[in-house]
Amino acid sequence: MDWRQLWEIVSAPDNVPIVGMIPLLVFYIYLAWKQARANDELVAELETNPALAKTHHRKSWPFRPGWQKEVHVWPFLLRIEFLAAIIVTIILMVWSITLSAPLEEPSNPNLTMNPAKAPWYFLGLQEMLVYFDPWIAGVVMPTLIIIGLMVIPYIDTNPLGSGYYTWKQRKFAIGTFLFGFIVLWVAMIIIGTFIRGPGWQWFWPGQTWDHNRLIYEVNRDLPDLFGITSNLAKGIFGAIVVGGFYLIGGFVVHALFRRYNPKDYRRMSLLQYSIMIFFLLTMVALPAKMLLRLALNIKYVWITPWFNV
Amino acid sequence: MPEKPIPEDDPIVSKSYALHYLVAMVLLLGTLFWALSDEYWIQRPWKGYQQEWKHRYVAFLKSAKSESAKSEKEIEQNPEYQQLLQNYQQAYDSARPRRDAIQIQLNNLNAEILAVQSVFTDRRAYVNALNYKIETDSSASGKESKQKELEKYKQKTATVKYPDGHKQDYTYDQLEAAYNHLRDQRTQLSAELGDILKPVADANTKMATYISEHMVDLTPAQIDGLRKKTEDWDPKIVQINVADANIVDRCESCHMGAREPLKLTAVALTPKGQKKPDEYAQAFVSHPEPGLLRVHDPDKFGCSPCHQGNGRATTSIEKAHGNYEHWLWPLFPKENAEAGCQTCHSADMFLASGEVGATISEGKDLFRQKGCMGCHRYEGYDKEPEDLNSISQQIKQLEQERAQNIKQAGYLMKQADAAATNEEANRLNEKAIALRVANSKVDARVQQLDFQSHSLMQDMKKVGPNLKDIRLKLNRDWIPVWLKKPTDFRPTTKMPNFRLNARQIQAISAFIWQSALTDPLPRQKPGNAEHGQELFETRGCLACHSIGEGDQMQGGAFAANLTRVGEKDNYDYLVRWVHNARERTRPYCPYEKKDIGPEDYAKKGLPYVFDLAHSQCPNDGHELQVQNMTVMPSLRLTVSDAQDIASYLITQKKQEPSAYPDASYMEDPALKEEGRKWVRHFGCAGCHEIAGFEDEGRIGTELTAEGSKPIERLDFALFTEPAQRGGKDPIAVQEDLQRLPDGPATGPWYDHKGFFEHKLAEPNVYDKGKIKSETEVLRMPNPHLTNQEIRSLTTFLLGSQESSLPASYQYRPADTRRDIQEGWWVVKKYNCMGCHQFIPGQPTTLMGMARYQDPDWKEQLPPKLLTEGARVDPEWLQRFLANPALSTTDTDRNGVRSYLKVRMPTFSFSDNELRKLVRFFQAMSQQPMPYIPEQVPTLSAKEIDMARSLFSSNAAPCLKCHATGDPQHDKNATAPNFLLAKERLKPDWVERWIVEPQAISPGTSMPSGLFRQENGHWVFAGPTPASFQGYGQDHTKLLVDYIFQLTPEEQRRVSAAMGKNRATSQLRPEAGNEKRAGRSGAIHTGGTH
Amino acid sequence: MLEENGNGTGKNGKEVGLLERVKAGVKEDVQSLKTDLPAKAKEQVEGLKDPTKTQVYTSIFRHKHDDTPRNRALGVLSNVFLHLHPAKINRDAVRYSFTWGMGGITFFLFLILTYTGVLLMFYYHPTKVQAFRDVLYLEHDVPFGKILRNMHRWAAHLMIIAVWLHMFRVFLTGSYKKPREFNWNVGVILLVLTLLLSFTGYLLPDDQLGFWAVTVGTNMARATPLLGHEGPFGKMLGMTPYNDVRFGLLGGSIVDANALLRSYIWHCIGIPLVAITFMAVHFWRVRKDGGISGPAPVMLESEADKRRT
Repeated sequence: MDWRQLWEIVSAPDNVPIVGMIPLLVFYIYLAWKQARANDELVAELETNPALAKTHHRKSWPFRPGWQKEVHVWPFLLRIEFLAAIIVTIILMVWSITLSAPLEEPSNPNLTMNPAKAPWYFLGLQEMLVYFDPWIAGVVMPTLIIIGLMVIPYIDTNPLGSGYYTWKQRKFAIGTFLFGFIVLWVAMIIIGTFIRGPGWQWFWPGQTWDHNRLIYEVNRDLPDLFGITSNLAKGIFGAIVVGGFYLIGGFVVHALFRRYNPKDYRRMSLLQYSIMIFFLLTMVALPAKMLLRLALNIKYVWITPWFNV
Repeated sequence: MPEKPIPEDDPIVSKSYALHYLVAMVLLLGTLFWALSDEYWIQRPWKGYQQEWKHRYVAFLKSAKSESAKSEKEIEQNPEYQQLLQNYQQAYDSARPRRDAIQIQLNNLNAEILAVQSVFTDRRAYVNALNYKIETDSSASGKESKQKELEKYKQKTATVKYPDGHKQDYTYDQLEAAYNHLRDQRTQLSAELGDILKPVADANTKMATYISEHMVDLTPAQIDGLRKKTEDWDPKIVQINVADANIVDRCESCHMGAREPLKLTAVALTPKGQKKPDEYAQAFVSHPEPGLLRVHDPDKFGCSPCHQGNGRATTSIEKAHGNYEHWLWPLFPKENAEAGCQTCHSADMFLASGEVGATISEGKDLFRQKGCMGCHRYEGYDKEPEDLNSISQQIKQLEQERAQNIKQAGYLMKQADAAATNEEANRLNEKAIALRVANSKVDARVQQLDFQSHSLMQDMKKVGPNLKDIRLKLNRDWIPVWLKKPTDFRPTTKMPNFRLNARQIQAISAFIWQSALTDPLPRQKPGNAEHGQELFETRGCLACHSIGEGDQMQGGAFAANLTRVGEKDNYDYLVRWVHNARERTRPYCPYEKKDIGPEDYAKKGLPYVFDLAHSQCPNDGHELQVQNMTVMPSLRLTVSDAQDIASYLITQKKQEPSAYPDASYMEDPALKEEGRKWVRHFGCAGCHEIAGFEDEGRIGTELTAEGSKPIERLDFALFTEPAQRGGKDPIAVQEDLQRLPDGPATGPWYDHKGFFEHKLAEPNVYDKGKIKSETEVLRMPNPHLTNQEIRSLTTFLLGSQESSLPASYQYRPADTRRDIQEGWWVVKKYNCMGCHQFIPGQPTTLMGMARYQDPDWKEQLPPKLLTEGARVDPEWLQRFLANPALSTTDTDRNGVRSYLKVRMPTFSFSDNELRKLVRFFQAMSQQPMPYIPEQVPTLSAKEIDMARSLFSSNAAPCLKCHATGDPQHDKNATAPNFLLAKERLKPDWVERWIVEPQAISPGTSMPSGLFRQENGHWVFAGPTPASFQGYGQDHTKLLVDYIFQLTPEEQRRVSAAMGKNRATSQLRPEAGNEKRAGRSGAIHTGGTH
Repeated sequence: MLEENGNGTGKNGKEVGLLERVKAGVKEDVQSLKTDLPAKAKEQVEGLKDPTKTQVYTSIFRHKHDDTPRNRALGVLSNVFLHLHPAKINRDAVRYSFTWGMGGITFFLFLILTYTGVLLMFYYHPTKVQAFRDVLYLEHDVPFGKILRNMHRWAAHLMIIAVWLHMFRVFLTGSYKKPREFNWNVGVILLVLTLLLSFTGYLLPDDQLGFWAVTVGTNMARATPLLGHEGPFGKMLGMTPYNDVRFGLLGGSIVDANALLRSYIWHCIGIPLVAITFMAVHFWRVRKDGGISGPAPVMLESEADKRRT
């Protein structure tokens, strides 16, 4: 175990935010989960007890008749906001006094940094570069992420869970979002920061980042595995595989979704439903491709003269 | 939820945040104070340093003052000082009455001026304002009325109340006059006071100067000044800012003592009771080389251009000059501090200022002498082959052009013949003629280039011997043994160890053996080894070569140690080599790329003669390489002397040549091709001439900017981590480990210094643990350097940087200093410093040898060249350097100092190098170029007579030591012949020389004190004949003029007369020591009379 | 003056009267000073005893400070900074555990970044020669320069984390649901703008870290489909390194002086302007979409579809 290496990575000034973000995320997930469970229990109780449901104020927090339903922003909200501002200021100042922003050598186009890393919040995308061509990882993927985030309100037809934490009422939506945010974004950033060393090679935490490390790795294209040689055939083959993934995957999702989430299924229009399936499958495609690469050393699935997937 | 009891009061509304706020505000305040103190103290550690500096320096100054006061008292006891003090008192007393009177007058005057001034300035302001109104009034009448008003105002009187009480009324004009008058009076009085006080002030200055001149350190008053300055010091950033070079250096914010006028040591600044100097004491010491700072004024250069480091950083030691990974120019380590010189002085071969410069100069020398530039390009080193290459490229191009032109012309002529009209034919013919004319221009250019290459080929040297000659020169069986590990045979050799395996050794030896020339070599008669030894030891061979091993070794390290030369060399070849090392077996034509043999000459019907005067290729007329590329000069020995020396050398062996194991495989042609591969692989041609490898490129990395290569580009291979973190030193071989200047690494060494030192100590260290084929392993051979040599070379490499400073900081002078720069390259190239002294204090090889410690032999040392440029006529010098015998027929001699056993060799300098050397000597002595010889006046018969009497005076018998050309006399001569003076010397130098030779060449046997000053003239110190009565000119001048007009007849006459004198006076004892005593007696008689 | 008047008295009787009147008037004035001055001084002191009644106070604070509901409401409504808040809010919405305060913290950090950023601009020249030196100057010379730069850097990182957590919370509480769909989209745009702000600032110190991060980042733009010279179909559309989208972003084919200037302008002017616009929309929509979404009473599964119909 190379503790020194580990410390070097963890203590690099620009990595400190990531190190700080992990416990922060854990804490807030816990906070959300606690409230969601309380709400879910309340919902369960009210579902079985319609009488109580009529009179209950329907929050997991205590309430007595006579208490104000609405409180004045000044001072009750503002005092918290102001306190938060003070605390953030303190954190920021202490952080700034104790840790200096990085400043390295003057830029030198002739001397490549190894590893040359993007700003930490884009490391997820940089990690994607390993598995996808730059045009997917760097352009299509971010665009899809933005569009995907934007369509959420329009494809989520579930009226429940608006304005309170819940898990049971929105299992599918929250599960998918957690997968996207925690696994596909945060985890990728952590991999990009702590795992990827010189040459963008995979170094386990505590492994020395050796600049001279050599790794034998041959990646093949999926068509080659099937002995397809002609360009045209490769193109057609890839299109079939990719199309097949979306078709078959779509069917599987449909089968599962209809079965396990019938209410949402009922509420969704065709357009909403197909958009949802497209984005879901695209999200799944990411780890699928990673798995293909890491486990089977497959580089491309679909090869055309213009682009590769 | 329900489990928890619901409180009565609404928690949202009733909860108090007072505690939260209290804690948050306390924390916020705390943070604010933290930020403030961080800004004020933590980010500014230099404040603490300055505080400490104040304490310590004041304490130091206190103790320094008491010491200084002590010594000042001692000086004040001195009668000279007492005399000065008395003078001062006298001056003071005599000036005092008048001074006091004037001072009283001045005081009164000042008060009066003040009184008048206050009234006058007020009125003048009114007048000026009125004048302005008049000037700007638009109407004439208005002007007039105001003019009247002004007149009226001026006539109005004002009262001045004088300090003594009386009052006086003045009109404006009167007031002005009175005011000016008073001021004039004051000026006069002040001037008078100045005059009166001047002698007093002068006397006072004399006293102060006397004290400061006789004090070792500062005077108590000066120390008091320093102390006051220190005590009043407010902490602040001390910085040097050179805007145009973007230098901002704040080093002195902590290193407060760097430029203090006192010598501050760490021990002196350590507080009492503390044993070891702490980091403060070490930071406060003064700059070790104040002389260097005078040349490189810190206000103009800053600190970082020489020392590097981050001059701006003041937040921590690590940021300023620690091992901060993101700073590109880390501080040069103390022991490599001279690397800083190289960053600007890369064009200088020789650097010295006080104690500084030896390391970097050695580094530069080593880089050349060890043949590093055979593999590594370095700008400025080894320029000749590069220039030659570009010239041959140009020649090739021109030649193509010529061929093209000829072809074109022929075509045009043919067309002209077939032309339809006359005009057309004429036009075409003219075109063809124009092309031919163009070709003649091309020819001229080629010729010019050829001429240049003649010089260049003469200048081009290789570090190792010419391997084309090895069949003639070497014992075949010795070669593989040598290649295995050259240091086993000759521990001091320049030839590095290549770590060759048996197969490689066989192949390489086979290749060089089979590719060598087989021309017949004339047989030589055996010589007299005993005489040979004497010649070897006295002719000057040992200035470059050494002989003997271990403690027995004597001689210079510039060339090979010849202890075992008898085991490897062929006698016949050795004779040729000693006689003229530059003699080549076959000339080489760079154009045809082949060695030209007699058959080529025979084809053209030319005699097989090639030397510097016959250097044209018989086949194509291009310049040939007609000399061996060695710096070894010709000592102009006779063949028999050469035979004697060679006979002596051939006896130098530890075992018989025949004892070497048989290596007949070297004749195997099958091995040859493999050998060629390895010779190319290892870059043998970088140092040696090898058939077929004449144009081989360098195989190593260019090192011109190696010191500024990013550390990431230096391949530490498997030792990157250990170097970064420290650990066991990767060098395992004890012999190599000991080469490391600082011993085995104890901490991290991941920097340029660590890389270079490890690489130089064991060049293949970074191969360790790597799996590589035999062609992939690092090729750099082990140059078996000592730790001091590695330190020097590391310093040199660390300083080899692409400077971030403006180009103007590079030391590339355009004036005579450039001549000095260029000259040193030549001087160092030929090891002139082995025999001659060029700068005071510089040791020569011969000087240090046991033989020359004997007083008699000391006179046999080659002349010092400290003021050579001022001494000799540059034209003569050029002639002398080209042919030190100063004769084309009688070459077995020294042209100037025929009495010296050591011989000034013939170096076959090219015109280029001759010019550089002559300019070098002129520039070193601040002599203007070109030199216009002084006209020496023709002396009258009387003057000649007078001069002759000085020349042959018993008190200064010039011809006793100076050579005359008479072999009998010259045997004991220790100075050059006067007849040479006219052509050789500069008259004004000779005059200075005869007055005070010790000042020009300390330790010379030429006597001092021959002349003394009398009435502003130099007068002979010995007895002068009556004819000198009333002669009002310099005797020295007379003597010099005489010497410059001396004819051989005159010299013979004088010499003969003197011989008679001497015979009668019996002044000349036989034994060496007594002879010296006798002569110094002569000096004394001369000096005291 | 009086004296001069006096000179002319002998000629005219009326003038004598005038003098008398003036004398009397002066006497009166002196008398009034004697009596009024202490009274006025007393009044002044009394007035200062309650500073909230002074004109200066009331001109700034437009209402009383009494602890009445009216004043509490006015305190928020009449303040330019606070009037984004409603006068009263849902009693549980002040709970930190529900909102995590991340939206407010993000905005607060944006303000800190603006202030520190403006101060930094005083010391920074976006040129190849000056940029790095200026940062060194900030580090070593400028009073509080180091903490200023550190705060700017760390606030930027903190802001990204805060934005993510804000989005995370909004998703978990289903706050993007009707009628807040659009504001969610504005939020997504603001998220992208935040990342771009940080990214454009990365290059400005002109050190190796920033240089290579930006190089890696913008290299992906080469591969933009259609618009990048290495992207799918880019070549077919005549894209070269000198006219593609990356060239447009950097103002050149490499990261150089132009890229620095562009980066600077986007960072300091362009993106902040856009972000401020969107922030205004974002905050305004929060109010107009009915304040923050919760904590709302839980909705029961059994009621979901009823409400839909």
